[in-house]
Amino acid sequence: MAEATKRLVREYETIYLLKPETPDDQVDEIKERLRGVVTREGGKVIRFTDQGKRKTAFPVAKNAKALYVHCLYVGGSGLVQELERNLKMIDAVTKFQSVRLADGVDFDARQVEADVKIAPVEEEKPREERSEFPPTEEAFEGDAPEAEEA
Amino acid sequence: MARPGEGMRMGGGPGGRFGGGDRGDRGDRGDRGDRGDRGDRGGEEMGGRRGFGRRKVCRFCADKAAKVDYKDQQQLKYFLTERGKIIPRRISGNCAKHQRQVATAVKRARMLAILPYTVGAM
Repeated sequence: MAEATKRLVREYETIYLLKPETPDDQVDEIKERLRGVVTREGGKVIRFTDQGKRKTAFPVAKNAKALYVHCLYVGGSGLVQELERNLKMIDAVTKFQSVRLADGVDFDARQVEADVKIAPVEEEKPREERSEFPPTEEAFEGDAPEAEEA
Repeated sequence: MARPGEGMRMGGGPGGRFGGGDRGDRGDRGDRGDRGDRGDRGGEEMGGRRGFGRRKVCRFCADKAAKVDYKDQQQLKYFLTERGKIIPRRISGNCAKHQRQVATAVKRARMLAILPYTVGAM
């Protein structure tokens, strides 16, 4: 049976934040270490996406910026736990979050892709340019927070 | 986009709430409009709207290709107020399903410092 030989796994993604001063070679070292962990646990890393140094919405580890790395992988149960345990041990990692993307993915059908490096997201535009419901928002902002907190 | 219309509707909101009687049925009609919307999306529901602007259509339903992505800062910012709060469904016009997805995405993005928990807090 074709179904019997199929190995069904889950697809996950993890985004982790590194301290902004982390040198490039250390970033690569962490990548390889995590790739090793995923492989050891019977999973497969599909790709790492280096999203570069981005401004964070609030200071993370007393820094206004952080290196974002996105990791997409497939694997079975226990893999995420092991990966997160490893992330916790790396000092340069300040934050991480894993999300399950899909269930029942065919392990062999999912091809490994090359690592990607994308340009950091550009700085935010001023509010006026993208606001699509200005009067509404003002009204909402106006009554809501002050009234509640008073 | 019926921006001014939407604004007017909201402007009339609080007044309607305190005005009692004749505006009391406003929310009810809004509900009915919602239900009708689910049937044929994009259809104009002018009947129960008392002449105020156009019923907003969920942007994710209107554009099937659009997916809620917690990594997309620009997309999610649209659903945040200046102070970083999630904009309610009645204003953003999202359908229930997509509003849930947006809310989850915003919360995930916050954990990764992509979006703020709060802006300008004391």
